[in-house]
Amino acid sequence: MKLNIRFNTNNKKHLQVFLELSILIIGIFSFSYIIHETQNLVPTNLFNKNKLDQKVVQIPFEDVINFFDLIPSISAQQENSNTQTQTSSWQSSSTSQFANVNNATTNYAVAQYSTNTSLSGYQFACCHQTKEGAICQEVLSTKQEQCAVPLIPGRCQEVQSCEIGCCIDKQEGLCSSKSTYQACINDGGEWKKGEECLIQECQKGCCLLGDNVEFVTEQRCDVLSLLEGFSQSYFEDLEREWQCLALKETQVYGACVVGEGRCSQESETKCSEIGGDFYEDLLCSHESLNTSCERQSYISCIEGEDEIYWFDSCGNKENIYSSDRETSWANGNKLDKSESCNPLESNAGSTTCGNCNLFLSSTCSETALGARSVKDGDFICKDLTCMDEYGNKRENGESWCVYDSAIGDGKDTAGSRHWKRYCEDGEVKIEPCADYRGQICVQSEIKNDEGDSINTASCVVNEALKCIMEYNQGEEGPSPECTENPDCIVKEIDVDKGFKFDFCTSKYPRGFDLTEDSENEESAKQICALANQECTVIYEKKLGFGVGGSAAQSAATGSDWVCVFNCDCEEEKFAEQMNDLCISLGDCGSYINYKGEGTDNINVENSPDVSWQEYTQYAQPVKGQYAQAKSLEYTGKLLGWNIATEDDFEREVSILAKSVKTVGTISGAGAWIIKGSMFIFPGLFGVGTVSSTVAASAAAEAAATGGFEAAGIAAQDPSMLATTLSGVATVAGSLALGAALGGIIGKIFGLQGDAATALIVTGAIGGLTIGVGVLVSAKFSAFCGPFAWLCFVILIVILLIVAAVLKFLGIGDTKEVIVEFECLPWQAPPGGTNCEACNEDPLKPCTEYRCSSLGQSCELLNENELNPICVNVNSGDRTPPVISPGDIATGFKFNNEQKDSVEVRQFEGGCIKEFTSVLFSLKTDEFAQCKLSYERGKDYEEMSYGFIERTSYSRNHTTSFIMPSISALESEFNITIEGDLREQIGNLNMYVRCQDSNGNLNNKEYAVNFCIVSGPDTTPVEIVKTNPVNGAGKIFNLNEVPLTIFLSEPAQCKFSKEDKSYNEMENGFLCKTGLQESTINGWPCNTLLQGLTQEVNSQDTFYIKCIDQPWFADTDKENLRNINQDSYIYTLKNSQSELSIDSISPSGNIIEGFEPIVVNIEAKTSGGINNGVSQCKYSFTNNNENLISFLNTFSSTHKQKFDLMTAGDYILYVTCEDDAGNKAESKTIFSLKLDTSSPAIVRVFNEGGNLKILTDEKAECTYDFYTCNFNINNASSMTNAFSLEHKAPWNLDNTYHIKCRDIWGNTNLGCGIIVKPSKIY
Amino acid sequence: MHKDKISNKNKVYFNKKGQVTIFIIIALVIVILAVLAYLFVPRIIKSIRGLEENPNQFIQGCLQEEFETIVEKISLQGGSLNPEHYYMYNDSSIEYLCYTNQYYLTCVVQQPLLKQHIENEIAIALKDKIDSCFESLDEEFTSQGYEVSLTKGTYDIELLPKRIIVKTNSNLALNKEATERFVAMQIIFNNNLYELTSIANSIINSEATIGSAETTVYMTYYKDLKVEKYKQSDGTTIYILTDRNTEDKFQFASRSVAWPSVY
Repeated sequence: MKLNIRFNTNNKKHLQVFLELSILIIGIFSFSYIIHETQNLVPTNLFNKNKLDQKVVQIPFEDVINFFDLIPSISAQQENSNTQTQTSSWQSSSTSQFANVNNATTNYAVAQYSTNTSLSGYQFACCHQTKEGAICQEVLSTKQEQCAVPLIPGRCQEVQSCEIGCCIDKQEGLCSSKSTYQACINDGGEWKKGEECLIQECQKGCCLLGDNVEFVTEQRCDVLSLLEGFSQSYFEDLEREWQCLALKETQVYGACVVGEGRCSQESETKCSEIGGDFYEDLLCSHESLNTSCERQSYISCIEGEDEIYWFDSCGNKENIYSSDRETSWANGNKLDKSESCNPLESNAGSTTCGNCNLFLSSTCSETALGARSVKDGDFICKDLTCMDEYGNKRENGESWCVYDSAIGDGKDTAGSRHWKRYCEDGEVKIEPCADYRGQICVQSEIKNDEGDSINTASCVVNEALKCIMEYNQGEEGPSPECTENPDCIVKEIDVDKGFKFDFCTSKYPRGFDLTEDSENEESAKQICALANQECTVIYEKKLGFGVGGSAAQSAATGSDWVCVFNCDCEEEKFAEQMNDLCISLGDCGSYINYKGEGTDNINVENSPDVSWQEYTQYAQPVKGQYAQAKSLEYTGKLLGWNIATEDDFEREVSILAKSVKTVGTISGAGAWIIKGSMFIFPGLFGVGTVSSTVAASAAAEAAATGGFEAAGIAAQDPSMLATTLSGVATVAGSLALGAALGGIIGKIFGLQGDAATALIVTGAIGGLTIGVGVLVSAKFSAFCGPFAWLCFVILIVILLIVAAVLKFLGIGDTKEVIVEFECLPWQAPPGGTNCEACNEDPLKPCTEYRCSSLGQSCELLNENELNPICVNVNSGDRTPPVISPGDIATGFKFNNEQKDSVEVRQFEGGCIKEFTSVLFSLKTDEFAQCKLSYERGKDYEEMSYGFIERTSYSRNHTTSFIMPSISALESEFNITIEGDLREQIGNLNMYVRCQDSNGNLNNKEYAVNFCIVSGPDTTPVEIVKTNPVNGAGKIFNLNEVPLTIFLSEPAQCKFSKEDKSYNEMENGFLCKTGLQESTINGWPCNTLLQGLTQEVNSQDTFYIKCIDQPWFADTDKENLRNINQDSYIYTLKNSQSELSIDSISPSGNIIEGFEPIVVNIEAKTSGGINNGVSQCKYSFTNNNENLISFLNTFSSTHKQKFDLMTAGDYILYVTCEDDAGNKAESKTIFSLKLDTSSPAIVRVFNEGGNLKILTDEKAECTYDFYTCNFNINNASSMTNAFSLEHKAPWNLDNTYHIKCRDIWGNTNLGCGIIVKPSKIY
Repeated sequence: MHKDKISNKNKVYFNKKGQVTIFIIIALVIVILAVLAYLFVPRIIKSIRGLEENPNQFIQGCLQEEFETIVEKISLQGGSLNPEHYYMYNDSSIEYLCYTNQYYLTCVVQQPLLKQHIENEIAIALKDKIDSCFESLDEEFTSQGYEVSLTKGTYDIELLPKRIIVKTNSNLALNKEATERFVAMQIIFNNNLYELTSIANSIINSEATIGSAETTVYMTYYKDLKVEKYKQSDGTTIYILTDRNTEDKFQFASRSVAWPSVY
């Protein structure tokens, strides 16, 4: 029995061990499964939308150029393209799709800027002289009309005549740096390479000319000395202008006695020149000199000197004035300034001392009669100090910054400007920094040895552009340069875990053109749109007991839908932070002007708004706040200096100092900008990617707190019941298996969130129970059977039941709320009551920008005069704008037009079917801003900027309306629309209000009515557009091509190479089916067409069908879905061959006689999609850079003429591309040579009784019998036409003096040959 | 005593009549002199002046007004008499001495050798006046009885520190009792355009190098110099240089490192 028991026990142990091992193995797989699922089943699609709007960040380079308007002509070009886009929109068919009103603007903008033009689309050419008269200017290669002479391809720096160097007038000894070659030569100068003129003959030194000095070259010193009658006295080691000026002060002066009693104060040099006796440091009134000059006869100022001086009776300057005559006279000895009265004081206003000092803010000044003066004459040391705006004393020459309002942190107000002020001769003067905050005023402090300090200010270029465009390219957020550049700041957007990113933006945002007819309006919109954002907030339907702590939230809201992700995006801080970013991009967003008045220019959907009134405190300037100057080192780097060591830095500073004669300061820290027009922004705005990364990690985190959290915790929690390692393994394995089963079943049922968690927890508990049961109870093990299969089957059944219940209850369902932020250009407040404020401060003269920021009807008068004024031009306007119907897309019409309403209907009449987009516009009888709402009675402020014009004032207000689909709405939002609501949606009104620039608002809303065809959708999907277009060619022998089709409504599509039914089609598209996923062309579906034909001139045909109403998929309404009966046939042609460039001419040597040389380029192409018809571009640098389109192209022969070429070797690279995308590249090498030599006579002989000569080139030859000095035009000719052979009669009596001239006019100097015919030859 | 009285009385009576006569005579003489003066004084003055004034002075006097007008005009127009490429500022066409049509880029120097350019402009502008002045000179000295031999030559303008010189190599020979020859005449006008042009050159250099020039530094170096700088909305900067003593001005325009209204 014992044995049996033992045996039984052994059997049970075997079974138990077997079970444990089984569970352990299964557990391992289960854990693996769980881990796998936690990585792959995370519903990242719910979260990854929280990144910068791709529609915004995908701005191609050319649009960046346009943003920043590098060249006015680009603006003009862009304007044209905009017009074209608009036109094509109106011509679009009724099926053209617009996503919805809110998306319309963005899409519209994207459509404008989505042309796939590379940088090469905008090519520069060099214009020798513009029609305005400017020399060597770069213009767009397409803008020949701007240039007075034919354009030269390439940048001006590559064209010899415009190369910048040093222009020297050797005779005069003058050098002009930064001079263009041709202009220098034309002015008679000698041009040398090296734009800074850092050559020996241009080095400046100090030239002493009698009592004066000149900072000039040595040669110039020679010239001036000769002219002035002095012997040359040149100090080349005085390399700085101030050193030279100081030399003047060190000259020795004294009494110069000429003859008897005549004396004058002269320098020693001058005295010896006039033959006088020089007495250093003595005054003419010195007793020992016995002159007739009596001391201290009168006082006066001296030109160029600060002090008041005594003069003797002969008019000679004596010492600095002091009322103590004896001390001042010093027994007739000269006194230095430092030995004169109060040398360390300014002596301003002193009646006893005339030792004025400009550096201490005083100078000699004549006084009016009766005014305070020194005791011995009507002169005084005038006080040159100034008082600043705060009443602080400023020294003469001191400069400081003044601002209109708070600055920095991206908070500069609209219309504000930075001002440099300086104190000059007791008067405060202004130097406005560039308007639109193109420059900022930086200030620093200088301390003297005594510890006193003065300020020095400078207007420097604002690098705002660089902050936004250059420092956000990296994938890891703003680059470190952002924090190094004092003009930039990093804005940290941290609203919630899934809405968090950093963006480098401008510390001092640039201003926009705020005028009504601004050409840059579109650019401004695009810049502001960089802050357009969507935050996807996730709501989840929770279990009643609130897993994850959501019960309280659930109870509080009275709903089972609980926000689980990005919840703070629905709080005020979302709009606050985003508006903060928006403001920092430029004049954007809800903000104020420099007088504290503002407007709201943001659209926030599904989250609280933020008003401009929150920012009024920024209208006041902050005392003591000023912009910091950039360090020289930083500036040096920007200037592209090669700085490896400190010495390098010093050297570069020295070069710069020399180049600007030491008087300039490095205030224009704009070298990056100098290079800036060539900026290339690869992967512009990597912020989106960063954001995406952030979102992804946040998503993973969110997932961890979601469905698999419980499983993870359960799996990691060791069972305290297990006492052995195998026991632990068994329990853990069972638990994992249970959890995995829960997860699988949850997935099968499509459960998420709480429901998935509940199921996994249930499975885990079940598994745990089984594991523990198996471990501790033999009966339980026996009940469960081998592998515990029975218990797990029961667990599966339980899980299935739980899953079904959860599915039925909808637990774990999620829904998204898109919180949107739209950043719009800032608009001035309506009206013009505050216009006069612009004229108030004479030290801050009004400008167009400042004026236009104060009100919509403010206008600047006398713009180009000293005192422009800002006035309200519409002060009497009290009439609100009148709204009326404008244009409407083809296929629709305005119907039943009333004073305050209009209906939009099908052109034939009747309502419009679902998903149809109608593009239309309303007109106003004056420039106005319009808003709309679908709810009657809303205030203007509450309505949304639903028109494409957004905040712009316009007469046309364009929008599109897409007819809603009730069933789609029900599906998308999981609601049931019934009764009145259904009727309302079927018969919608759009209410519009408009406000003119004076703030006049139409009180009664204008209603636009739409009605939607009722009843089920019976119309199949229409393919509106394809990309590539239907019937297009493909690159020769290309195997696969991506295809995008755009649908008139959300649908799912398939395609096949044969015409089949939808279900039989084997290839699918990836379609966007969300209501908000429509593009300007409709709902996109993407696929890759593969296995394309390789046969020449053949084509591939594809049959496409779609099935609409995807929300009915797998439901009982599947049968309501419409499938295309007829396939859409899409064809793609193969090219006949590769595109090839057959020839490019010219090549080799081209000889011409003079410059400029005309060169005609011709390229011939063949093959490709259409017998060589293609567009060819050329470049003189290489195949991929600076490509310019041939003047005549888009055929198989491409021509370009260059009118102004100079001699030299050239390589012309040519790239051609046809419509299918076939590309070919080639090049031609040619040399342009100048023939400047006269023809050589290579042979002379008698032929048939004639003197015959041969020349080495085609020429015309003449002769004279007497001299070589004859006029070739009037002499006897030996030539009929330009030829190599020339002849004349063989006359023995004459000597032939022969001269030849080639076709370029090169003529023999003297005779080419002298021939004396003889009898013997 | 009585007799004397009577006598004196008669005398007084006589004197009164005589006085009237004398007054009339004096008045007639004055009128006659006035008429004579009107008729002959200009010639007399001319004759006197002709003796005192040499040809240099004559030409200087003849040119002075026109010269000042032209130099002022050229100075206020950036060194050009008829600016081709200019900015309108306070109704003046101010020539661009440095210009770029683009944004963000430094300018290209438009007049590399400014001094020479200004000299040429003045020379062109004065040509007709100089010719007419020499013709007047010929007439004038002929009228003074000189035998005038004038061979017109070329002439040059030269800007120099504190002055502008008109140089001519016209050959003038005046022969009356002796022959006096004037071969290389130089007419000097006081003007500080040379100094202002030098400063302008320096400013242009700064504009072309770093896009801007710091005006206060110039004023610190040169106490008699005032530099005003006015930025215009299109990126143009107007510089006005003034000599505080003579009020001579030189103004010019530059467009360098300009910035658009939107970035």
